[in-house]
Amino acid sequence: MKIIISGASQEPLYEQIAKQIKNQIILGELKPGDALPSIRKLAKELQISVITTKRAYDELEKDGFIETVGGKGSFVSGENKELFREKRLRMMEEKLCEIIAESRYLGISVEELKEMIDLFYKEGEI
Amino acid sequence: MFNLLMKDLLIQKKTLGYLLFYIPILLLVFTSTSMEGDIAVVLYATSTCFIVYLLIAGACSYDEQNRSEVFLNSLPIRRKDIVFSKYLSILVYAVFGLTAGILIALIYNVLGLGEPVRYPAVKDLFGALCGAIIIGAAYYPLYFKFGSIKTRLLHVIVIMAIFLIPAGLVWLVEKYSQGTAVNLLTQVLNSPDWLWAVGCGVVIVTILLVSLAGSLRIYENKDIS
Amino acid sequence: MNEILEVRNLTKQYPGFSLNKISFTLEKGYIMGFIGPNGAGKTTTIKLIMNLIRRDSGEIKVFGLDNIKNELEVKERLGFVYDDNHFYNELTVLEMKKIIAPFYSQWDDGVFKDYLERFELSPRKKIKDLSKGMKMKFSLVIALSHHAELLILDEPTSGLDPIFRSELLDILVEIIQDENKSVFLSTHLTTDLDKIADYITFINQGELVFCESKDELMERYGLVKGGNELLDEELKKEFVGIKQSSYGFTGLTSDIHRARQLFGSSVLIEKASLEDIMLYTVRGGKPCLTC
Repeated sequence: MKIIISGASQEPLYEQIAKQIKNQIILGELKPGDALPSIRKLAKELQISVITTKRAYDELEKDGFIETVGGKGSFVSGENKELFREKRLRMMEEKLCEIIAESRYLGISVEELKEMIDLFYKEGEI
Repeated sequence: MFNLLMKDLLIQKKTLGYLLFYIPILLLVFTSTSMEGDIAVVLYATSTCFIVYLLIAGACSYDEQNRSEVFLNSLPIRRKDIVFSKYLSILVYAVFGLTAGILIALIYNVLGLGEPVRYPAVKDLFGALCGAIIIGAAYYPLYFKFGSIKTRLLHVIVIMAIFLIPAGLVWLVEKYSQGTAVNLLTQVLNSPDWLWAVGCGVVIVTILLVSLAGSLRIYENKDIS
Repeated sequence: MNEILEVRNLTKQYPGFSLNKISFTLEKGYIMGFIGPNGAGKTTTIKLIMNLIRRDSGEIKVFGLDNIKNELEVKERLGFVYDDNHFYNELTVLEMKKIIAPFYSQWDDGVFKDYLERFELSPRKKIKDLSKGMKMKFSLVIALSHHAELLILDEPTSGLDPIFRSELLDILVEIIQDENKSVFLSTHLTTDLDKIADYITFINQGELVFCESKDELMERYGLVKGGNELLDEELKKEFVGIKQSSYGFTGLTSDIHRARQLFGSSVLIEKASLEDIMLYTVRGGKPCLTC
């Protein structure tokens, strides 16, 4: 699990942590059933307050990404394919918007864009 | 409590070493005085009182130098126990003092520096103990109240008071009731030894208890900074 | 019962200074930073908790027990580190331990030896031959060798280099990996606390300023920077403290949202560090000395 936090950012620390863990779960880097470090261990490793990590975990639990079992710790929630798929689709849509905006800027037409997509798709299949 | 006693002895390791040097000095003093009467009593009382004072003042000033009061009182120790251990140490130091006296007597006798000195009899032990207790009883309440530096000055005054007040009272009584006081005094002075011992014992124990109570009261309520 | 240290309406009067109805609570498993400028009353508070000085009024409960009535039990489970070395200089590390250990029923010699090794303290060295940092380490070893549940430290890092300070903080964080233990750390070096503290209690001139979680503080407080023309007497009162120069002002607000409402985008709002909070609160509305 990789977490990099910035003290200088305007975003609260607990949000940064929750976001990064969320993403890793969505992208499948963290799998259902994977154990997360205890809030205290995480706080120690990141050199932050345990209240912050607790808050991050509470957020994740509220949104259904993790489950906390008393005495054992926190684990990535069981299969939630629909939810994750939806989230990933949304992330993809955002990227599409970026590509489209860039195409418009470079003066590439929709047809040329579709050709490019075909090309790369075929390459991916090999 | 016994740990505290150990502590007081441990921190004075060096002093105990120096004591070995004091013994020859005491020996010198002893031999240079040609006294009439019972030298032995004087020897044992003096050596005990001297060493008791040295060790009491030594332990207290060490505590103060190292500002260890704050540390000690932060440990799980009752203030009562700190006071008790100090008073108990009077006994321990008295033993050291007596031992020194015996050593001096030994050396004196073996080297044949004069008429042989007898080894401690009961009355010597009694006298030495009384002396030690008076010194300790006078010292500790002052120490707990004022710290070791001021105590060194005040201590002498208190000791003198302990001896001068009874003398002064006798003198006063003498002045205002001619004769009766002298008769009373003569009677007292002629009473048997054991009565003397009991009387002294009562007085000494009273002084000790008053001193102990005072120290406890002072120390329990003291603010330690 | 989750509270490991409870202080309620604690009061102590001195001729020139008084501690006035201080109240705060520390729960198990957290680190509380106790901050304030020199002379604010931090050491006095700690001495009252340790019952070295008598309180005039108020309540102090440690492990749920009254700190005077149950003094011995409380001190058994408590470890302390002071900034001043109070050990006997003529004794060695080992001799010092021999004096202290018997007072603690939970003394653990194995733990003691482990820590000595870890901190590279030689047991035969005399206390007077130890450097300031080593003396502090020794204090810490003693405090950690009897399974203490609460660690109280009074300015333990003053006079020590940043490397050692960082080491100490690591050790403190390690201690609260056990969620039944807590650490109470008084310091005026707030940069140490910026990272690891969970709660902050701030006192100034014998009064409590606040006792809050550090996260909440960081969200609530902010530094507002803008041009001098934006300020008038009314707006100045919105700030905890203001510094003005001929180029603009910097003010500490205890309510960032409100500041945003009042000033909008005409100002720059930044995070405030604990040091900023302490500085501006203590200086308060005092007139600027250099403008």
